[in-house]
Amino acid sequence: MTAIELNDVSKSFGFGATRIHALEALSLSIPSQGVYGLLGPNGAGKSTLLRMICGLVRPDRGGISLFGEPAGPPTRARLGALIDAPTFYPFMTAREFLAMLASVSGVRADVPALLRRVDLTRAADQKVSGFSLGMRQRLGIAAALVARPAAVILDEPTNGLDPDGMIEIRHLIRRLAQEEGLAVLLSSHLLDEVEKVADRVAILNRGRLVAEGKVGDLLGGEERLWLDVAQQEPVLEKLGEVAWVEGKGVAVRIARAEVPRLLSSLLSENISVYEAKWIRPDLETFFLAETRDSKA
Amino acid sequence: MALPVRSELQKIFRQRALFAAGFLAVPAFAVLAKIFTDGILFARVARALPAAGIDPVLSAARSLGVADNSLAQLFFALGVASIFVVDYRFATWRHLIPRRSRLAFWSAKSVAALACLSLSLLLVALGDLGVTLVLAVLRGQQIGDFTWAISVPVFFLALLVAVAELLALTAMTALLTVVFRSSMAAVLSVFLFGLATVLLQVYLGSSSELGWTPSAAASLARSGVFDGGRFQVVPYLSGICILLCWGVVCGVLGFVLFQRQELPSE
Repeated sequence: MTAIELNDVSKSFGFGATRIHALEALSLSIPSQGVYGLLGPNGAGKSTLLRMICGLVRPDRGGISLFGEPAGPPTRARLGALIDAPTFYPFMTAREFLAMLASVSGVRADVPALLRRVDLTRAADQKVSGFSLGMRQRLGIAAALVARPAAVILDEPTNGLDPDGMIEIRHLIRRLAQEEGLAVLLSSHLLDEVEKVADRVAILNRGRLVAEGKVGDLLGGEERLWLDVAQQEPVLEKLGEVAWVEGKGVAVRIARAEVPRLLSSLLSENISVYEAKWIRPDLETFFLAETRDSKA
Repeated sequence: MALPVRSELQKIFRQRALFAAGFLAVPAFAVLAKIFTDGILFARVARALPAAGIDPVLSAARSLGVADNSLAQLFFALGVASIFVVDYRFATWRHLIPRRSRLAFWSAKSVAALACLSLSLLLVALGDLGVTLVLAVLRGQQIGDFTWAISVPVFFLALLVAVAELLALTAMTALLTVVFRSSMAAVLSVFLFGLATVLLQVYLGSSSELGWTPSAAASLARSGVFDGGRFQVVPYLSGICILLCWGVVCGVLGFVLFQRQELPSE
């Protein structure tokens, strides 16, 4: 079963020449368990998509289903969301804010436990206006969890957190998915973060879906040998289709056993090799390749 | 429905300055004005006159006419707009919209605004009652001499007019707050509209041509209560109906706009 399903969703803002297509015929299925990463450069349509799921923005075309039913107030009540920068009533304390959200949701929430979970116990009775960005981020995550949701939408949840805080939130996200069985839709610019926690990812660019699948499958390409050589042309000529320019060097698709022979043949042809290293496929490289391709 | 109302009340009570300006300033000014005018009258003239004929409940009923005062409406509109604008101002719709239907939030804000306005009217009436009683006792009247029962129905009829007028004001302010997403723009528009209708009424010299405006409708309804010495049903009900029409039309229009309003950033 899917937690969130988008069918052929489109959304534009503005009129005439200033019209911007935020999303174009987007279809996605987010499973009811696990972490689903949403990636995309600025302006790709991620925030519009998240706001649309939460009912803040209406699609021009297409439909959204939540937990197998058309999206509406009853199904949206099963979502928890942290969208964009966390915003609060500055005149309330963290405890009051969470209690208020729980009462609006019609649930009895264990606010002290929730505050402990995001490490805000000591600041529980401070007004939110005095919170640092990291504390606001933690309170935003607590707000998303206050009504015991079945699916959580987290938009840049580690923004403003220190490295320890980022690791804690990453663990929290994994726990939510693995131990509590929630669906987590995680939007982030931090590709490394998404790669570490997400089971599946979707990459958006200019409102379109450019790649989607399991992280392992998307990065399923072979490792490649990267060479920093004095002259690239002779290497490319010698190796043909298995070599290409990558950055300031040459990448070679080659088996590990073949490397000593390759290096000695380059040296024998007086091609200086300054550095040779194995490069594992990562999400950043994949992301850049996908978003650059579609820009072109 | 009950729970969002409580959260709306909590939000406005926590914004103390706005709550005081919107809902406590008018009763405070009304009581001060009553003390000032009746105090002068008491000091200059009334002390020497017999104390008979003072009716505190009727005086309290008349004091509810403050709902028709343009300056009072400016403060009331500020209070109402503060309730409706808070989630635009702090960009907190994103926390609320996924949790309940927009109708629940719209209704909760409307009920919270009307509850605060009713509290304000109650304070105006209680303040007037208190000042009248104190001054009457100072003039030597006994509490047992007051004719409470006769004016009680008049008080409730006048209260209904004031509530209906403030219902129309609430709906209009809510509509404009949703349109502008700003309390200042909404409050100024409501104030200018109220002022313009009052000026037109003064200029034309009769409320008949402008009977459809909230101010004229309220005057019509009040004339049914206070003019002629006895209750007149037709002007009273006509005025109330016009005010309710304003309330319903603006309220429904505001809700429809809010229901369809995009919130790409609050």
